[in-house]
Amino acid sequence: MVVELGIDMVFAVGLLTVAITCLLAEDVFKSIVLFVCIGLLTAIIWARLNAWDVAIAEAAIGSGLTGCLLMITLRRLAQIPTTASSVRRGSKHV
Amino acid sequence: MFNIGDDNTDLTGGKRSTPTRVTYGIFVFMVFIVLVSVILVSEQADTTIAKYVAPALPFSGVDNPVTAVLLNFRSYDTLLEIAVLLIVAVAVMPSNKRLTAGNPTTNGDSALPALHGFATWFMPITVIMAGYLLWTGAYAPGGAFQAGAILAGAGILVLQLRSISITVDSLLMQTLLAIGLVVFLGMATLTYFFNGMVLQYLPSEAGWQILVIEIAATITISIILVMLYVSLATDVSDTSADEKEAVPCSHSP
Repeated sequence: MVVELGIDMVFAVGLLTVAITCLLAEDVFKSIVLFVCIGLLTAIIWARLNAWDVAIAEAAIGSGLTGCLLMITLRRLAQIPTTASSVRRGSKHV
Repeated sequence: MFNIGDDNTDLTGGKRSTPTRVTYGIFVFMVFIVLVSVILVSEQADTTIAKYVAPALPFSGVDNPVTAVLLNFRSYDTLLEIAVLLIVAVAVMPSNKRLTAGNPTTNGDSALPALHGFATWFMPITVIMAGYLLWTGAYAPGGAFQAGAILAGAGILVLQLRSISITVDSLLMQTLLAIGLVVFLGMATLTYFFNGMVLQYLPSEAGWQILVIEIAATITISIILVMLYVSLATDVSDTSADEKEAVPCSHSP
């Protein structure tokens, strides 16, 4: 009982930490990678909540597919020619 | 099969010693054991929704309460979800219909042999896994959305090889995009004419009807998700038609 509560607390605190780090990261690429980690932790939490279908869907779509789409969006953002040189991989101030 | 390079340097550029590598390996393995055991000690939760679904489960044609709710009790919502997915696919369909996700290279891209080996070995396993999830959705956690998502992951993995291209306006692509909604609407029409109400399944026939809808939905979901990837993964030079109206801020001084 205490072990389960401890594991749940680890996951809850870990998810909050990763989410805050994802928002405060200075690199967009880093934020995307942390977003994929958020998806993985959320999938495990869904499994802890006994929602197995949602866990599978979250792992596949929420972290995998959305992370992939964010990555290629970032790559495409860097390819659009602009006058400012800040739209490149790394800067959050577009 | 894999081209494993001997890149065993740490952050400062020095080589890691063998005890350090063993320690890291043991730590990662312990984390893996903790994650697996966490999933295994989960017990059955008793929520109020399950108390309502359980008496009606034998009449739904499936054994999984989630699939029963998604595709039998609330199948109208799933029909609208598939329609929304199709609208999203049409909305992001690139204006340059004949496009490739990346430049197609010759067979055997020697720059990324690990990717080739990984994709070659993983693709059939992923397809079988998606088929298994689709079939077992009636009895265990799984179903059409999960199978479609995993199949889309396999499709994106194959597109990383850059040796194939996708023609978006081909008949096959359009058929695969629309087949989920078409089959769902066809099933709705059939049930209206045979059973008197739209999407009203008889308990004896509900099993195979749900399976037919799920197969079409899996194909559609996977193709739509791959289409989302393809529409974004093309280089800007390939889509010269929509470059003019896409980014309004690119001309500001």
